[in-house]
Amino acid sequence: MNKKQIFFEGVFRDNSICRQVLGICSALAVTNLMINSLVMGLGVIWTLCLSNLTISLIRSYTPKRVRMMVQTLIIASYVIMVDIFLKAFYPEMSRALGPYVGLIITNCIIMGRAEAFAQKNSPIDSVVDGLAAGVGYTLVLLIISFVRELFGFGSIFGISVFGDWWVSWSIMVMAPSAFFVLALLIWGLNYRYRLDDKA
Amino acid sequence: MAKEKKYFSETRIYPVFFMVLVALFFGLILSAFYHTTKERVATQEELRLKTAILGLFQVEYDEENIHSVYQSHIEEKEHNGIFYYQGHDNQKLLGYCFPVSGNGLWGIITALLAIDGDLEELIGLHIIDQNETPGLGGRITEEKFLDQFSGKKLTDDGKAVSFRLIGENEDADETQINQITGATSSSKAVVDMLHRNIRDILEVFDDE
Repeated sequence: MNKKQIFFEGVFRDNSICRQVLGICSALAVTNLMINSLVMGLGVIWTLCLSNLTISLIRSYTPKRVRMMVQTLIIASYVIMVDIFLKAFYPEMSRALGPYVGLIITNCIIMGRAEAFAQKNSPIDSVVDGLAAGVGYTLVLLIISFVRELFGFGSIFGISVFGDWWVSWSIMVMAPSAFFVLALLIWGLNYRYRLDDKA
Repeated sequence: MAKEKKYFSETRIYPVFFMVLVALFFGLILSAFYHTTKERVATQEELRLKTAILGLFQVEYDEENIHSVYQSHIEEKEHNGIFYYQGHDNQKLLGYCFPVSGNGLWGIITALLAIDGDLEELIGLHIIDQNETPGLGGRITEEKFLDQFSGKKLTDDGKAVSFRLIGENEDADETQINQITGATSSSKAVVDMLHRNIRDILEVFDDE
């Protein structure tokens, strides 16, 4: 597979959230505002790229039996860096995301890519794969949060769209709405790729 | 029979060795990263607290002189185990500001509560930290909700005041607070936190 292929497969056809249904927890939790989703997405992209790179670089030296421990340790280190960075430079954002930044460590997409890809492929390919999975994750989060913020707050990226007459839908602000939006999105994507697969 | 030569990477100790090495490496990087940003994080926190306290006492400042304004206007004090900030402007007592906390719906809410010099009225309330649902309970940090507390009396019929929550758009009287629609628990958490802390503060300070 060439790099372009790795990238597009990772972002769309094999989208971690929609096709593999991984990383759902954070996709539900941080998607009521677009800005939160964007920052969360960037954090995940950073972690995925670097953890994939590191794991791929040391893959031939890593003893098979402890590889998962090593992966978790590497992932956790990069996530803590994101956490400290936000606290130091964007304290408002750090407070808005609360514990979810730390919980990137447990995001299955990252461990999944480490096991499924970085463990067996070259460092450069692994970075591309991490980038793809991260961008795919971020795109889905942004789509969900677009719908939720629009109906829940009447705004996009904090900029009011509908004006004062808009009555916010409380359900869109709460986590359950993300289930509905995500389910519809998965339905749409599956339908689209089912047609492709048949052709 | 010659003993076959074993590579170090095949020994049983190798995984342990490897793990320790990786842990050491990342531990070092992280602690270096932590130490280089530690001061910045602390400064951010301090700035936030000072901004909040000066804001509550309505002392004017700008980004450059905030630290000197804080020094000349605010004094950190303690009385019978209660820590507070005392604000003054040219000898005139502005009031007292207490760090308070209480249980929210999802986590602990911490806030600053400012009271006038005679311990009669609330000057204002500022939420420092909260983990309420963003967009619902999270709205307890909005001015529209918090401004309601300014000017409320601390006592009602000689007892510590007890606020009653009413609907968001109803007209509130002296002891009523408009709650946030869809966030009854969080609104109640803030009011409960106030009740408890006002009672404690009055108890400790009233005997003076």
